[in-house]
Amino acid sequence: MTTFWDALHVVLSPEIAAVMFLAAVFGLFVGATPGLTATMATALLVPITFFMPPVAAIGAIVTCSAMAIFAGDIPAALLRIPGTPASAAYTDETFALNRKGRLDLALGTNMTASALGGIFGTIVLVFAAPQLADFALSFSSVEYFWLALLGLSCATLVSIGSPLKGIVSLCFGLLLSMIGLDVVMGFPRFTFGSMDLQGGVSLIAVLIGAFAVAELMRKATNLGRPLPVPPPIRGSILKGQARVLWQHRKGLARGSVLGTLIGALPGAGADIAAWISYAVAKRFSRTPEKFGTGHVEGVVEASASNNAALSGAYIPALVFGIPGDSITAIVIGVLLIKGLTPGPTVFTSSPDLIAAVYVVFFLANFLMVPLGIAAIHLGRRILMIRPGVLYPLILLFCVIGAFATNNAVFDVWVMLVIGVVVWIMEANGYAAAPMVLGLVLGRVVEETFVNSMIKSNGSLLIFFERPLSAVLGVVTLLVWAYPVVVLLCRNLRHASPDTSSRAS
Amino acid sequence: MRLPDTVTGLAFALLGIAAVLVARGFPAPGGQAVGPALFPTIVGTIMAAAGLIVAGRALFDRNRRALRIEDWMRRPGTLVAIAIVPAGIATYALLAPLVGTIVVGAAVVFAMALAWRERVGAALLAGAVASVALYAFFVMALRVPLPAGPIELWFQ
Repeated sequence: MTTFWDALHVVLSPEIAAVMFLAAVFGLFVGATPGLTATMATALLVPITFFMPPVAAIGAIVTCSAMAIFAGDIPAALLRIPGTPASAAYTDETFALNRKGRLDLALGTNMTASALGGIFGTIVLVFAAPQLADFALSFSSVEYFWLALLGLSCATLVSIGSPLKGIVSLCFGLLLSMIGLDVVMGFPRFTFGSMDLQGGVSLIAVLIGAFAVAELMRKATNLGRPLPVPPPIRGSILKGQARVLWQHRKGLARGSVLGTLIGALPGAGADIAAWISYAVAKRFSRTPEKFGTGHVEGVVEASASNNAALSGAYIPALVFGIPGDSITAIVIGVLLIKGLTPGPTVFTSSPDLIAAVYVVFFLANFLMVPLGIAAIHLGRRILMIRPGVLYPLILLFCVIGAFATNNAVFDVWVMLVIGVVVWIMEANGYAAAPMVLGLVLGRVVEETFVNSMIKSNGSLLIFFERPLSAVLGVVTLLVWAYPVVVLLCRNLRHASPDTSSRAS
Repeated sequence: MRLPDTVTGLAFALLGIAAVLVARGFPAPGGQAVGPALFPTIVGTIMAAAGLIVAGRALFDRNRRALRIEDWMRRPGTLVAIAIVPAGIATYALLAPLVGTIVVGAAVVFAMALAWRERVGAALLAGAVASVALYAFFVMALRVPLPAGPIELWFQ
């Protein structure tokens, strides 16, 4: 408990509180701007967090991403354009509420359910993470190898688009992670004689390229007319909220639980959580026919779900160092750069850091209500900002940010190449998230594999010797087998009508 | 940019094969089970196989997508708006070490704002304000030595 109070003291120090406040404003702004995602907000923050102590850096990222996920609901309700992909699931619903003249109800529900979902996810994080970490202390390099591999496998399986393309994207990230001195002998791999590549590809440059530069280029392909100016909001946003939430308390609880679980799953993040929760809400509703006509039930459940997912993703990230989504992949990257390797030992070696993460999460979700109300009222103005001014500014920020982390022009080139490659990849159905996960986890997979092999004198049996490693190994192999089985079943089903028609 | 799956699949397959070929030149492990070549070889092979399947599937798909001219490709304005993003980054990387961050940054923002259909006055203002503000933030608050030119030296 004393650690908790110490952490609260640290987080509420003027510097960190100021950093969190600014990150919140930044997150609300980016989230409320259609076309800018929460992941992009986080990627843009990274070069700045690079110069901060770890608690401030995590505080900035957590606050910014939580705010961005909520703020994505604002343009969704105002203009039927989701500000971030995580709001897409219920955009039609909140816009329908707007058409009914209940914009205050739509956005109020978005905000309060988001905050409650986020707080629920944080409570689970606070209780589950230390238990899991205790358990994980007995893990050896073998278990970590399987966990990292399992994380990568899940990431390709649940990634948007075809799993096959997810595998290609993952391999591309893994190859990127191998550039530089290798872990076994310190031999320079794929450096082609370049000194700049010896230390490896800069993660920050790749992140900004993949999540910001590629987005800018995609945005340019549909430079449309300026957005229409939405109407001002009438009525109090919090009025009647308690009643709505109490009425849909079951959905709120279900969305929070499901969101946390989906978030904790490697590779699945807030957007998938929102889609699934919205579908679940409809499935279990007594009035499913009202969905899509401006009915608040699904909005409660899915709004809670996507913010809960954000907290849930930190469970595997902090305990095992396996990111649950692209935002936590960025967080792990930032911690690694700061010389902190996320894992169970962090819970014993720096409990202050872990406690600070919890405090940051609670504060961020509490802050969401007052700052959210301000953002809802200013939302109209954010949407009136001209893209011709905003986007060039983001580009310059990307360039300077990529340069700043290592003071290297080379990193700017890396960002450029990755940005163009990811732009082409995403237009052709290759998701960027598996690539980033591959880049972050590639070294972990290789290091743990090599360490295990050295321990076993080259025998592969070590990977199945301990009961725990055997279980993890079998689960991983099942995840690999799953798409193959699905494909076979589908082919058989396709084949059977043919044979029956031939027989007749 | 939508390309046929045959093209993207083959491109990734070639990259995988190239990785395997380069890895063959890596030294053998001295008395150890695993050398630096093992992982690149495995990953390169998987990538080549997955890429070839992507390409092969598209090849045998009857309603496959040929290289199609998309709507935005016909609009020169949009092409410029897209190209200005990588071009702006390259310009900064090439020229900022010579001329300094403020001038190049302002020019990049100005050009991109124009390409994104902003008025000349607003574009000029955005360029000047953005580059000076970002330079000040990174140099003074974060103490990053950004590429400096005559203007920046004059500021100091």
